[in-house]
This record gives sequence, C-alpha cells and structure tokens, in this order.
Amino acid sequence: MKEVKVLTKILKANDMIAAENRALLDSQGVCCINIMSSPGAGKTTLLEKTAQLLSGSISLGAVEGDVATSLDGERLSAAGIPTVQVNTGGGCHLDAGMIKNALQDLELDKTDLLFIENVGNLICPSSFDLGEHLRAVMLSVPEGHDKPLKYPGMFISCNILILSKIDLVDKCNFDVSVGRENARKVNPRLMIFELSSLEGKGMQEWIEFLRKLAKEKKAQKRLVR
Amino acid sequence: MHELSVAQRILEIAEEKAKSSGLSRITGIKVRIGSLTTVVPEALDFCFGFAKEDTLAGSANLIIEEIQAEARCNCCKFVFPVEQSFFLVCPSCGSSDTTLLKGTELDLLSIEGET
Repeated sequence: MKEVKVLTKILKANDMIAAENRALLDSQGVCCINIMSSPGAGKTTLLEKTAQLLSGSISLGAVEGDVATSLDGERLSAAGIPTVQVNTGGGCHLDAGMIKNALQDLELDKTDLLFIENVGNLICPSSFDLGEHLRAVMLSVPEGHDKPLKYPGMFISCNILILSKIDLVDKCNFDVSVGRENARKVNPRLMIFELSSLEGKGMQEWIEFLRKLAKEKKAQKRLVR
Repeated sequence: MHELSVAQRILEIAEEKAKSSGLSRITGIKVRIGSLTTVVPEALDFCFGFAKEDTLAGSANLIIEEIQAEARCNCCKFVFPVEQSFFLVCPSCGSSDTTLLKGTELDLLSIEGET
C-alpha cells in the first residue's frame, strides 16, 4: 500500500480557466458581473430594463445560462443586448469552461459591461468562479427576508445584493430592514441595492453604479496600456 | 447539487496522480471540505459511489475531512466559528470587520493505492 500526497484544489481546472477568462476581459476593458439568484427572482427583467436605461451610452453583453430553452436569451437579444445562450442540459450552474466558449462568440472589444446570468439556483453557482469581476446575488421580495440566513454560502460569495421586486414589499411578508440585517450578518461587506425593474424604483442608483464601473474599467485598461 | 461533478473531478485528479505515481489501483482518496462550500459530504459520498465505477478507484473509499468555517475579528482579534448565530459579525465585540480564515476548502489531500 502506498500513499501519495496530492494537495490540490478539486476545482483547480475551473479556477485556471476562470483566471484566463478574467485576463481576457481585463485586456479588453470589459467589466463582468455574475448575477445569481433563485429562479424567477427577476434577473432577466433587470437586464432588459438596464439595457433600456443605458441604451446609447454603455455597450452591454450577456451570457445567459439556463438548464433548457433559449427563452431568456431571446428576451435579452430583443432588448438589444448581444447575448450568448448557454444551456447546461440539467447542470445546476455555469462553469468557467462554458464562459470561455461563450466569450468567443461576443465582440468583447465593443463591450463595456458583460453580464453573466447564472442558472437560477442559490446553492451551486456560489462555488464556481467564472472569471467575473463582481458577483451579485438577487433576492426578490416574495422569497422572504430569511434567505441570506438559509443560503449563507451564496451571500458570502458575493459583493452585491440586489433586493428586487421592491414594489411588492407591502403585499409580501418581507421586512426590508430585517432582510438587509440578515444579509449583512452573513456578509458585512455586501453593497445593497433595492429596486423594482418594472416600476423603476431604485433603478437610478443601479444605473449610476454601472456607469461608474464601466468608466473605472476603461480607465484601468488605459493604465495597463 | 453539483456533488456528482465534484466527484468526477476528484476521480479525474486521483487517476491522473495514480498513473504518474505508478499505482495500478486506488484504494482510498482523502479530501477536505469546508462548511461554506455548499458541497454536502453525504451527497458527495453517494455520488462518488457510482462515479468511481470503471475507474482505477473502483473499490476506493472516499475519506472526507470536514472543516468548520472560522473567522477572525480585525478589531479585537477574536477567532470564532462561523455558524448561523455568528456569521461574519464578531460575537465578542460586534465588529463586522472580519476576515474569513477557514471554510471554503475543497481540496484533494492524498490518494492511497497499490502498485
């Protein structure tokens, strides 16, 4: 019997590809946000509205991850966002290899902000680095303010929390201050947005944030040069 | 639930290492899993059970070392377990300026086998 030391990250293959993706995005001055949530939280609707509000000023791109269908990809394309649809065929998350392939089909030199809309799931996507610069978790008001406590792995892995469907707050048993407190307990560093894509509340702040991000990324690219 | 893909990655790395180390059969694989990884040890063991068929690790045991997440307070330096009741807020001084020390491990430590 012989024991052989290995000591390696099990997801090292994923992490290496993620690092390549990030380097490629950096070289093109593209800022990439990986958006994760449970199914139906409103990721696609937020991106549609974001495209409308940034139209003509900032160029967007998207990688749309779903188990099946190109329904969301079609919605984003119709909203004017160059989009690559990825179907995982049952897989519960996107991985860095899928993003690597998708990036080849996007015109990165013409893109300022790239959104990755992950498969709707509050568990598995949190473990996979895709090469993004920022990770956002979206929590819609109807899901309840206890979710950060119930899915801490996801909320710890993110930089941004988007509380969506905030227009429904009076109809649902969701206490915004408790929701914020629960999220900050799990991850004190979360930057929090409260918004309603459909009614527009909070969208201004979100859009200003994206403008700033895109500008900073371009400035970084100039510095690198 | 991506435990199956994690089990497959473990087997890939283990088989590669076995071949380069001259092992003809793998009898045991040791892994380390942090409590924040969203990988459930029982589910991983279950998936490993059928993913290992037709590999060099066909009769191998998966030995899982579970790591409880820990954080350190940057204000009072208190080190505390990250559980539902503490999260990343220091239970000693209440500061949220904390650094996660452990809990995100997903490592293959070693393999054991016959030459």
